[in-house]
Amino acid sequence: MSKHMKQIDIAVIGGGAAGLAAATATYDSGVSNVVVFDREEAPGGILKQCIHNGFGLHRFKEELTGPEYAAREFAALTQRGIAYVPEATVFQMESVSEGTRLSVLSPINGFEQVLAHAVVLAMGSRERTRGALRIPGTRPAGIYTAGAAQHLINLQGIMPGKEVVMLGSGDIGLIVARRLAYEGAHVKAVFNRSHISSGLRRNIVQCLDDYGIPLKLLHTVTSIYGSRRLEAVGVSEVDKATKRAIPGTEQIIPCDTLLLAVGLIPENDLARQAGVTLDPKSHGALVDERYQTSLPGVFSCGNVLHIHDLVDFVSEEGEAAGRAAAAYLGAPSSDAPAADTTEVLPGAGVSYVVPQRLSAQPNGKIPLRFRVRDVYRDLTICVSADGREVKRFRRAVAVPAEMQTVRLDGALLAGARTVEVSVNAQHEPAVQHDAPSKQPASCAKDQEVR
Amino acid sequence: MSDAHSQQTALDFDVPVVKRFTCVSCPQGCELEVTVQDGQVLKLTGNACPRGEEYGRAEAISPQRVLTSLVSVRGSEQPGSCRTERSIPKELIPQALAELRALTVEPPVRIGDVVLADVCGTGVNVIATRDVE
Repeated sequence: MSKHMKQIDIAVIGGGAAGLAAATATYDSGVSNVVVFDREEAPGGILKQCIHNGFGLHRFKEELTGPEYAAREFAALTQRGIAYVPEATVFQMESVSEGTRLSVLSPINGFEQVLAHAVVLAMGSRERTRGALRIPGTRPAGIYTAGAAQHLINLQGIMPGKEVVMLGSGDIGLIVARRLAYEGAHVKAVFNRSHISSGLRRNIVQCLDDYGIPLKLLHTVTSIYGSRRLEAVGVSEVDKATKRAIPGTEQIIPCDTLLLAVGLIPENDLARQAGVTLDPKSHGALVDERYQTSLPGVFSCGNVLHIHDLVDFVSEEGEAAGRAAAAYLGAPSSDAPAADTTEVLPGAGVSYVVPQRLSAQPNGKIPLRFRVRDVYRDLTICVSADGREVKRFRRAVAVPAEMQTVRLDGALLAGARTVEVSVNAQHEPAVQHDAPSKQPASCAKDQEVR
Repeated sequence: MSDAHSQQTALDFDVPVVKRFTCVSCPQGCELEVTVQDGQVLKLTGNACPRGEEYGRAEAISPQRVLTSLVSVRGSEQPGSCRTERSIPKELIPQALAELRALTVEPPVRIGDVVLADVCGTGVNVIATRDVE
């Protein structure tokens, strides 16, 4: 079978920040037969439409816009002569004895089957939609996810509407609200179901407060009006305890556009179909500290693994996964996550941890990445192995909107049956919702589904 | 200012004004209180670290932002994207956006090309952030 198939050392699926960094790292680790399959026409993934600044402070030590960051990452790829296939859809993935068989369709190569000795999954994420929220009402034009609106404005030069209401205050939504204000639209308000926003505080201040856009916490959209085009939405107050809309509180807000900024979900259809074990908490693959999934030689990184808030960390994770994939080629016998390895669990106050497993001999400094469930101040992050504390980290503050990372020596954790990451702290006192812009940036509920 | 206080107009410049900001230097989000008089910071409280002081002073005296936006490229359906090379005074953003809106640049555009020099007389250039053919 395999002798009729094109063979490559490493296939990287996805040409965004994670995939580009992974491909470059595999090459720098001595593997030259690497191919990046990208669904889109041009490299960079979501960075292409993120024309705002704030990218690259960690990786490049300067503040770049998304397209600039993407251009640098792609330049690193082309300098190394790494193959990049645009408009390529990998629609099937299957573990076979010699590696992983991919079925790919692209304008350049037509239909092809490729046997890759290792695969890096870097497909990114998708936005939650109106369907996922089950907002009742008619189905007029004018309802978009925030990312779709961002694509229309920044890449196609099309304004989605003039009178805009936003549901959810995720970072993409906040950035798009400012963009709309720049382009002359009227963003009437941003409504957020939870009592805390899932957006970063910096974005709430610089995208909403700076332009006088109100953020209404504990409010949600309960009705949609309009037949051909959206004419109004009904917005109701939300009970903080039950998290349900309070009947009788609905107010009608005329608008021609509703944008949804209600979280991202890792896009793992390909992985799921191939039999990769997923973590129901992160919605990404279950991986060990080498970012290897439950399938031998299949690695995962970036937003397809878990939702990130900083691209710099996506690139870092992509590099680590790329290096691990290259190392796997050198020693393919290195076992996939087995039953007798260490399980890494989220403890009190933690919604998920990546990696979820450790190999028998975790080497070097292991980053444990996780999100907290609520806003905590003066907290201690405890890492314990088999119930015994091995390391603690102090933090002044932790919010669900910001991914947390602790790094500790793999040797400290080697051989444990379970490792747990937990938070010890006082909860932030309940925040008053009449001063929404002063809220800490977080949203425990939204976070669980991101 | 009401008429009753008009006699004090000359003195108004000397009245200390308290401004409040949420520091965005880190997720802690300190609530800063800055007392300003005659363009000078008299007092700054609420910050947990020196970065908060720096942020609060800048916000109180002259808030600055990097502006990122779009610019038309002749013959291209796709707009170009651009940013100010450095931050500019926040109050100039609407004017800077108007200058950019009035502009159509000639292709090809390369990352780093100056699309608008000396925006709003700030001495800061607006540069392209993506290539457009």
